[in-house]
Amino acid sequence: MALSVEHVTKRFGKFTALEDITLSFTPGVYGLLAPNGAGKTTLIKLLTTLLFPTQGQILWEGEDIFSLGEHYRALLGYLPQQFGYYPSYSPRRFLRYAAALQCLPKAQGAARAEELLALVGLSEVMDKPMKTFSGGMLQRVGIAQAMLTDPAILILDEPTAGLDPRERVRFRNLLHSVARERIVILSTHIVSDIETIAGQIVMLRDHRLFCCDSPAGVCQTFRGKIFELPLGLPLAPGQLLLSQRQGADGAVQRLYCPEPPPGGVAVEPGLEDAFLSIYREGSQ
Amino acid sequence: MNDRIPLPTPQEREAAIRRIAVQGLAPRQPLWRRLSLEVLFFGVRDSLILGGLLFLLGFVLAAVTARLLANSGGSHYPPGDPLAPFNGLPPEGLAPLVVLTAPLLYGALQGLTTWQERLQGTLEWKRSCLITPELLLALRTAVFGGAAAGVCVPMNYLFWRLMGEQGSLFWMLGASYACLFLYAAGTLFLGQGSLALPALWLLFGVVLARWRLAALLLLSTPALLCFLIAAVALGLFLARLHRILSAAQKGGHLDGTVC
Repeated sequence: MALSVEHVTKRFGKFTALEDITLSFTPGVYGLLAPNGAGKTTLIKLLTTLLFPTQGQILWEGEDIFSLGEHYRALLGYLPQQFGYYPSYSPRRFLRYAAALQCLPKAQGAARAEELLALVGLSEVMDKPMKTFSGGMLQRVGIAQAMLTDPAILILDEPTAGLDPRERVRFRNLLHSVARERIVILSTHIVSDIETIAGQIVMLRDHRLFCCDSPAGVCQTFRGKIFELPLGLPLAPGQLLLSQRQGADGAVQRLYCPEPPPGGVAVEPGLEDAFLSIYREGSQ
Repeated sequence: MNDRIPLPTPQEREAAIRRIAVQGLAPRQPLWRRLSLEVLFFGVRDSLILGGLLFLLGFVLAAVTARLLANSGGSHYPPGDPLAPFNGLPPEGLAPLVVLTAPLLYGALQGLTTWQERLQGTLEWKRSCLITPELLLALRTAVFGGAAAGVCVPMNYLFWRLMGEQGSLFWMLGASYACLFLYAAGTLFLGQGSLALPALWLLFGVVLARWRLAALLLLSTPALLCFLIAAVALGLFLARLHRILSAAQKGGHLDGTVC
């Protein structure tokens, strides 16, 4: 199973949303991490055939996904950023409908809907109207919808946006349980969403591919460049303030700095440090 | 086994098998044949009811207007004049009556269901399904078009009776079908959610009601020409529908756009 993006560029008139992107996806969880406006959703829409590349091609097992048409769509599960649903309908009816749109036979669709509602922990409310659901419950319905055909490729666009911390943890656990033996592409600008579950982190900067590496690999690049200093010391040129926290001896500031600053203590870089350093002010 | 023969890798073998399966097997049943009416109209029941009520309201208003036209008097044209069949009827009343009522059922159902679908925000995830929203909307359009075409005959017959059997029923039918199919083709070409077409159609009706010359011009159009225009518009409608269905069947969107 391989999905590859080959030299893909997407332009909207004079605006270039993505420039010469080359990537290869094999089974595993990929975290597409970039700030808003960097081109994540455009890439997701290209992978789901909702947009056509201006240049380049996207291949599934060596064949163009647009030529594969419905055969490619049959492999795809997609949860968009804004998941539209029918408030008056129950998740069970909704999923049966979604199954019909995926051309699943009626009995199979009904069984699959119940199975997935159990998986996402909504069995007890499967006949209640969705207008009574919280944001997290709706996202779980969305995941179930995307999983109906047991897809080989599962694409989730900002699935944790608007969820409270408890729902986000629950969502990560759920994703863990469905991620086996398929390509899962998860777009987000929240580092903690993917830090623990993504095997590979894809980063876009200035509408180009910045890196595709394991979380450890991304962090490794910043080893020896992240320091902590007592709060209040002025920043020298070239230093970038990443965050502040309460340490054992008072408040400390965490800096990105190519050279060790006087009095600075080198610390183990985290994915958030890498994210903030890569997307420093002015770059997307 | 001869090592010098380059054997395909497992990935290449899988890809080759899949290509053969896709290209060599008998074509699958068209996607739209796998749809039931329940699935076709899922989630838009409110719009169907509201559209039906809007049509009924418009129909009652039109029927009252038709009755009033019968008693309002009108010009008298000599025998042989193209307008002679409309003796006794005011052109600026009859022409807008026919033009505005013909696409009313189609326009109300199609417009409201498309609007509701957009409002619910369900189009995006549906675009990744095998049955795409384009396919759904196109099939609904076909159903609404068929229903509106079926309603045209009894509706115009009733208007004609209410007008005291004055005017030409044949012309009314021809003009109605021409209006309906032009409107329907327009929705498919301009985009199904476009408000431009209903606005344009309403404006056309107002022009006919306010400008006698325009109404006279329409009434003097031969009935056969009206049917010819209807046939051409129906052809365009069906051709466009076929293109949308074919594109959706292949799993793509027409002309690279989404509805």
